[in-house]
Formats: sequence, C-alpha cells, structure tokens
Amino acid sequence: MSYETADLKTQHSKLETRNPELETRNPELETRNLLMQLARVIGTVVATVKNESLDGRKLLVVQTLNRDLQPSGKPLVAVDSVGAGLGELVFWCRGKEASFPFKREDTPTDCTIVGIVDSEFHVTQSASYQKRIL
Amino acid sequence: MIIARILGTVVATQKDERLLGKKLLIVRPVNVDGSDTTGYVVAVDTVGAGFHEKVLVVAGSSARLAQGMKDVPVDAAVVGVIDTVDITA
Repeated sequence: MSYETADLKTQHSKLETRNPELETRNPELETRNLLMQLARVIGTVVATVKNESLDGRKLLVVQTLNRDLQPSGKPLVAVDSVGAGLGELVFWCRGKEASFPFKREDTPTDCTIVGIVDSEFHVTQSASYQKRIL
Repeated sequence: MIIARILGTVVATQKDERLLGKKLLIVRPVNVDGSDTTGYVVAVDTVGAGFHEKVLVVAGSSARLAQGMKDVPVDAAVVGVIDTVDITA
C-alpha cells in the first residue's frame, strides 16, 4: 500500500467516525448552513423617524429557532412582507435577498419575514424523525 | 437588521467622493432589552440620528438600497430611529 493510499484511508476513517448528530446540533453551524430559517415573532419595533424607503413597513422582533423550535441565537429586527403576527412561527431570509419581496421599490432590509408556518406539528414531527434516522 | 446605540461620530476628510456629505456614526449593537453588547460598527447615517439614540442598522448590500445611498460604497446604514421595542412573547 502506497503512502498516499494509507493516508487517504486514515482520513476516510476519520470522516466516518465523525458524529453527524454532533455536527448538526451545533447551533452556530446550523445558523451558517440554513440561510432561510425559522423564527418566532416575539415583539414589535416602533420607529417614527425612518429612511423614506422604509415608510409604511412593519418591523417585528424575531427570535431565531433551531429545528426543535428552541431559541438559538440573538433576536433580530425583521421587516414583515406577509402580515405575520405576534407569537407566530415564521420563516425569514437574510442578506440582499431580503429586499426582493419588495422588488418594485428598493427597501433597505437584510432580514425579512417571507412566510408564515401553518402547522408547527409538522416541523417538530420531521425534526424528531430526523433524530431517529441519524 | 439590528438595534444599535450611537456612541460617537467619525470624521474623515479623505474619503470616496460618493461619501461626501454623509455623516459617519460609531454604533454599538444592543440586545432587545436595551443592554449593550460588545463591538463597534461604523454606519452611514440616513435619517439624522443623534447621540445616544437607539437606531436600526441595516448591514450588507441592502444598506445601499436606502434612500440616498444608491451606488454609495456602504456596508452599514442607519435607517431608523427607534421609539420603542415591545417584547411580549
């Protein structure tokens, strides 16, 4: 067996012994990998003086969640594009794409609520299913 | 978007000409309960915010979408002055 092959084999076995459960449970990793995330609307923000392009937009405080719907990370201020309400489970997107729901006008936002989750049951169900198969 | 508190200003004479006339602020991100976090961000003011005020800061390329920020090389912009933050849930 050549040196390279042996090296590859040890690397391969190292990869296999990594615990996938541990990797997906790392909240930091989850935040980085999942760009569209689930969040809970936990409050509102009132700002009278705003940039003109934000006029008439609803600002909500959202707490990001992990797949068990437990809080993970810091709460953020999000612009609402779907009419979400307090306590609702929503999904949101970040970055430049966050301004796309308001495509006709340029809206300066890096965090926008783009959907309301109908059934929390299905989210928790699929999370527990994933845990079983891992 | 994050909530931040204005700590001070930055004066820069030599800057990109598209930044001429824009106010540069030093802000510190705060938690939703108003307590300070660590770190500083330099953000361009678009609303006329004042010292110690709690403001909304938008980061990334979206900052350029604010009124008056078209084609301006900014990465963080102050886009609103916060009156209240209500956390009920």
